[in-house]
Amino acid sequence: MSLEMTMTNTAGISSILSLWLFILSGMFGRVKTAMTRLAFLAFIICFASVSGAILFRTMEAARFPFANLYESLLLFAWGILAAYLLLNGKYKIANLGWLVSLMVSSIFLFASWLPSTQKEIVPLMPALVSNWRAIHVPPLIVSYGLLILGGIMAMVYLWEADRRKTAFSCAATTAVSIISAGGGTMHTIPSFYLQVFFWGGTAVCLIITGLCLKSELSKPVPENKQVALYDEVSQRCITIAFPLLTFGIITGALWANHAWGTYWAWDPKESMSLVTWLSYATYLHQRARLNCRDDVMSVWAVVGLLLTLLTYLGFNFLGFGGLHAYGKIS
Amino acid sequence: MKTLSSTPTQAQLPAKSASGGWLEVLASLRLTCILLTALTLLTLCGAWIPQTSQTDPSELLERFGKDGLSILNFLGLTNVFYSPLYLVNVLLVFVNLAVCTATRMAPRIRARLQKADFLSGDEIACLPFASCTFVKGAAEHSQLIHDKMRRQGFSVKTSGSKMIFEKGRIGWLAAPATHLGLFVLLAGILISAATGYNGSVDLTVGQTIDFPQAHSEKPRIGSLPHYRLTLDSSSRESYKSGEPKQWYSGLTLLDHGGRKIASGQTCVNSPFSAAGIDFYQSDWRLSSVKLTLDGNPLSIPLKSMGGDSMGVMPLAQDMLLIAVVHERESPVRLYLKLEETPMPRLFAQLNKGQTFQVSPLTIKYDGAAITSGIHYKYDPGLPIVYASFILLMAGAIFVSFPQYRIWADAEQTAEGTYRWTTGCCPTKFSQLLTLQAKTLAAELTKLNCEEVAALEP
Repeated sequence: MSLEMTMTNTAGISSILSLWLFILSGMFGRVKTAMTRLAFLAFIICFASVSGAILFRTMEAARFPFANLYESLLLFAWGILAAYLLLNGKYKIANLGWLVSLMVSSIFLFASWLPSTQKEIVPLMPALVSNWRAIHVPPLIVSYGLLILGGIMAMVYLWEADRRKTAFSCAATTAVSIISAGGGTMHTIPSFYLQVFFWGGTAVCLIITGLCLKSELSKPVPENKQVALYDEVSQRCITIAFPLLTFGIITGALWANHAWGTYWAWDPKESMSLVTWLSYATYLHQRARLNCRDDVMSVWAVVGLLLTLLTYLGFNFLGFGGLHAYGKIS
Repeated sequence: MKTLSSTPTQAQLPAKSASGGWLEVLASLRLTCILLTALTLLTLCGAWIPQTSQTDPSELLERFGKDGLSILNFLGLTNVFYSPLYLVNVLLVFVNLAVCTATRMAPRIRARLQKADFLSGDEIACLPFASCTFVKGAAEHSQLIHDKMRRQGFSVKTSGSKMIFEKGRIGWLAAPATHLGLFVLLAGILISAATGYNGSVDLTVGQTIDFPQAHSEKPRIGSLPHYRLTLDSSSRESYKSGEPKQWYSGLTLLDHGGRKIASGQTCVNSPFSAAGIDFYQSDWRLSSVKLTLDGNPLSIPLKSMGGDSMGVMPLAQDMLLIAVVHERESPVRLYLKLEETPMPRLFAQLNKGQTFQVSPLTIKYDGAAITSGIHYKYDPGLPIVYASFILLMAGAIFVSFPQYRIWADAEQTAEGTYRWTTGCCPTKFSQLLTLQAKTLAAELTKLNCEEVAALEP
């Protein structure tokens, strides 16, 4: 087994270990502090291992990685881990560590499930042989991680702000989109049915979310510093991710102009990244309004999470074509 | 929290006239949000539904059926990005942007560029968060608050009894930079569309093509230059495993009289530039197999199939000749497909120049021809577009800087006490800013409180 694979496996195992330790720390009050510390230790081991895995893969491939889905998932996990560690340093959100560990361990499980062709280091196609890849891909993948983290924090805010029905339906909407994207990886379900399930399921869930939110709008938000903090963290994730997303889209345009002579070709993935950018631009404009409601903005952040998932994974798994097909599982 | 329409900057705006109502609607953030949401949904449709500009119509027909496709065509969803609906939406976004910049942002920028926009106690009391405390002394409290806020990382500006506590000052530049970036982007795109041109040509080695003859979008202003382009050479670099690593094309640009302007090489991700025109390696493929059948030259067009290129040629009514080539230098594999046999049968594998006898036919392999796809572009608006990218990037970076401003004023009352009014206008990171303002108000109250009248409900 290569050093890179050993590091990846260590990262995967330590993410699962940290998840269990975070859960146990919540269950046993007396040893909570010790358990949380151990969970954090496992978390840091996971972060160090995934950093090492990326480094060793770079050395092994003798090129910058992130040329296929498996490699981008490693960076995606790294981005989420780094973001959580930074946010925890500033906002002290150790109680949400289990949620981040759950996300990261799911990413590692998904990555380990991918076919071996994805894990092998294969030669790059001519279009990808460029330094632009190192400039364009990392900010985008890290921004996806942050935006998804922002959406999850928004769901936690809705839960803590006593908008439980809305939080539930937001989680259900996210589950529907993840299940339909997951279905696309099986190669057994026709993409038409997957798309119907995705669009139909998401639309129905979003309508239910809207109705739930409407029914809960009049409820008072608990006067709790922690509640305000979750909203703050969600907003912070989005405001940090937004420049990264913008940078990723702009460098993508510059690369496209350098490679193909056009900076924008309305490729499905390009268009989808514009959709995500526009939705978060709207979010930031809404936040600038004086009378914007934090619960409405949290639902907006969850919609942004869905669009981010669709941009990152959905378009390859749900059978859309385009120039970015190298993210597909063949 | 009290929510009032008046903000410090709006307080400095001229009074609204009745006729200015529609301007206010056009400049409103609400309209921005509605237009951006509409644009998001339309772009989502364009991303999901394959567009006629990128997809073969037959594929659309297969996917949506005849009726479905006619409905989509009727709604303009198969060409969303060039549909009137989309273009009108983009136009409205820019109108909203222009009016908002002129009526809302310009006064704010002016106010920001002034030394400091201090507010009086009454103006502060109109802010969305405001609190009021009566204290005996003013000067000693000013100094205490001044020091305390400085320790928290705020810069403090004072003018008599008025104070502004500020943190993250560059945050306010986010909107002006982004708005300016979008205007510059629009200018760049319009210049490109009016004066630029582009096109694609397929060339074989030694072939020369005149620009006006090539398939090209002609510029709206000006005309295509009478240049000629020659493909001098074409090659492929491969990995050890045989997969393509890079494609190269040697090009020469000539003027109308055949004089050489420049020559150079282009490959994927490395365009060749001459006379303001950029040449890109957009495609590279084996286009045909050259055979000689009993002394008669024959060219079989190839199509890419898996990792190979394949061409089919009918030899007789019930007989097909199939030629398969992997690379330019690799041998050709020749198959015969007869009507009665289910699978084609390999009958020869020939290197270049080699012959094979299939009685009574003699087949000679003369090699494979290459076609190099070259895309060319003249784009005078590109530097402006790049400048807009820098501005948009700067605007997006400034968004992530939380900007906090807290106003304070100590006004002497008729009773000889001082009315300390503190307030803020929470927008970005409202919770944290309000918390800071509340802390400041609490500090004042704690210091020397005689009477507290909290305006916050």
